[in-house]
Amino acid sequence: MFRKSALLGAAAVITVPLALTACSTDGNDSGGKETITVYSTASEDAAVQRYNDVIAAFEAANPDIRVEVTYPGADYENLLKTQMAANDLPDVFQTHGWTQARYQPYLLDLRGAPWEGDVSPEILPLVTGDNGELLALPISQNKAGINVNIDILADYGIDVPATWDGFVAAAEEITEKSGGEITPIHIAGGDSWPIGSFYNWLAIPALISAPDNDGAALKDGSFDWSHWNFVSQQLKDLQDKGLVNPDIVTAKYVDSAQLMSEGKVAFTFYGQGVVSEVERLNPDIHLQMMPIPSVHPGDTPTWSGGEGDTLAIWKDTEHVDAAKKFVDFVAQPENVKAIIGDTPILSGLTTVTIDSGDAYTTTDDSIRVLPAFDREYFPSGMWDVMCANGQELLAGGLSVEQVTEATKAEYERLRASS
Amino acid sequence: MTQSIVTARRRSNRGRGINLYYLPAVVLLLTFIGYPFVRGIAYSLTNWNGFSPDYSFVGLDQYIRMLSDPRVLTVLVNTLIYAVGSTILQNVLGLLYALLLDQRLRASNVVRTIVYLPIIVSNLIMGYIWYFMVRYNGGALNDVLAAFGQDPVNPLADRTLAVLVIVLANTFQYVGVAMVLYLSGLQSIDRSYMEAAAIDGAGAVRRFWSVTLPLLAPSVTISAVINVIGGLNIFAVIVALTGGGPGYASSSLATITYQLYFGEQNAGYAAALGVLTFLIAAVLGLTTLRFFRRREVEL
Repeated sequence: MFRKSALLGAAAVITVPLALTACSTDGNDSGGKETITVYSTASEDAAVQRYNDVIAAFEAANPDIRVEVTYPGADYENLLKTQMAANDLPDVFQTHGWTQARYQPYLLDLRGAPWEGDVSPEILPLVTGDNGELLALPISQNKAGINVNIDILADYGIDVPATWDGFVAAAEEITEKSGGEITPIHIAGGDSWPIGSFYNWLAIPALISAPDNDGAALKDGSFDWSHWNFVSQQLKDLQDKGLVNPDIVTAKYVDSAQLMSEGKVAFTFYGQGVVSEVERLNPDIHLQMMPIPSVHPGDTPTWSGGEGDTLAIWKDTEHVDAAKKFVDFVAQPENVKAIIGDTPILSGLTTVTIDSGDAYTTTDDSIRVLPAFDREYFPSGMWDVMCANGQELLAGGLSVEQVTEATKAEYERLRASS
Repeated sequence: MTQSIVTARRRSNRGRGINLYYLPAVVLLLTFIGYPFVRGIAYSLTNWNGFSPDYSFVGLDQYIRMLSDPRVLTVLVNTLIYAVGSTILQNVLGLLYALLLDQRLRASNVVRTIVYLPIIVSNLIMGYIWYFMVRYNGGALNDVLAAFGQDPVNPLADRTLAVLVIVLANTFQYVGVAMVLYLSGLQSIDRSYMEAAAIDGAGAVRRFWSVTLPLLAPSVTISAVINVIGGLNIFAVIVALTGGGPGYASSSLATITYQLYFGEQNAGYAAALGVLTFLIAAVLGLTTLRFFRRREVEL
């Protein structure tokens, strides 16, 4: 009898704590501080440190508030989707370019914030809701282009190309003059997302930037999908001509960064992110970003823009005041500068000016900064479709036309469900 | 009479006590396996995107879609290759290692440790280790080929070789499990059987087939079932090595389900593939178990 009771008691002792682990805290620790959860997309050590420094300064200025920050890294997006499904989002989180298209139903209206009037007019439409809500604090906005090892171009006497045909010609010239020692264009197709980057950037001059473009048609669903063939065909042509790395379907981003640091690659499609990585490996490499070349006659080069770092507040947070205090603190000019650091990017607030140094091949302010293609013109979820279909194209599993059919089918499915 | 009443009461109490002891395990199983499984089936009948509160019931549309999706057949075949291929290799190599180590040679402990060591490495890291061995640019394999004046190869770019590399990576990591199971089985075999067989004139090979292998049957059953189920669930090593590529040529049911759910925001379809994975795992696992259990009886 005693033995049975003891065993039952042991079973209860094991089971009850396991059930209680599912219970969440109420955001207040025993020290009487209010705790807010913050999720950031920062993943590089330097970026994480910049965020930690700003958070430490906030906590010092607000001793009654504790910030519990999480940096999920590559899993950020998947983690947020899971938490959206459970309707249990962090108090404050970055919307990584999807403020309107994905997170809008979950965001607190921030109109009335002290920094509201300082939001840059270029980025304001991207963080404004359907009914005029101010959805997020835009810490920065992108101004990205094709990475170029400017010394390689100088060595071979090649000017920064302004047209896509000129870009392909430059790649061919590099192959010829280097005797194959330098890979003109490196795309880490094994990681799939660099393929998405290629599509995202070339789609701008191919479909959006020219005076007569497909922007409206993409948004209202009347897009002529035969125009998508052009982008896939360019990728296929680069592969067939040997202008990209021979292991394009298997190479990973680390391979790109390594080869770029060794001066063996002329162009890549990674934007700001790869610059610090390469310079960390080899400070002597001189990387810049060039505008995306134009495709159609009469058009001009462009930059790929859109949201950079943003901060939004979950509309159902139990810590509205504390969350707003945190966002308002980050919006102060010195903190915006601290978070951006030396990343070549534009500020999202007019109160902050960022000196990008020689990060860009040109300082011409007349070059248009257009929204990130997939975020502005495709429904949420199309990024992975572009990546996967592009991989299949390069692996020989799909033709250019089949890629277009598959992309169109997913566009229609995702558009219907969004 | 008093004794028979006491005995009957003991039998009755024993049955009631055992049911309550199951309770914690049953609660955990229902909470973390049963409930998610039922919800997964429910989601497979919808067009849920994985995070939106709005979605619709679509009946068996997702299952019908499976029949026309060209990816499904490829990942199905791959998954079976990973399960069966890994199982065969791991068990054959594991048994060979066990037979070697059962000889109690001087370096037995060192060899056993080296063979078992890869298990403690995470699957993701193991995938990256193999990637850096076989990658086209700067991989160890191509460095060796270059040393012999050969052109570099890119096995991960070939649809068939990519699958083979994944099988090899998985085998390399988990052959230690089979080795330990078989070694334990070998060491539990009474030496008198081997001595008797030797006295009767049986050679080494005959002793192995007629004495050792039949007595190892329970170990074979356990090892095969574990390996099959493990092979069906290969995920991280694929993500690290090939990402499922080239294209989706080396994807498994697990990786394609992940991509559909998180990447393509097609949670309903991903859930349907999850149900398919469960059915395959159940059928394959039970079939393997029955096959080898029957062999145990026959032997």
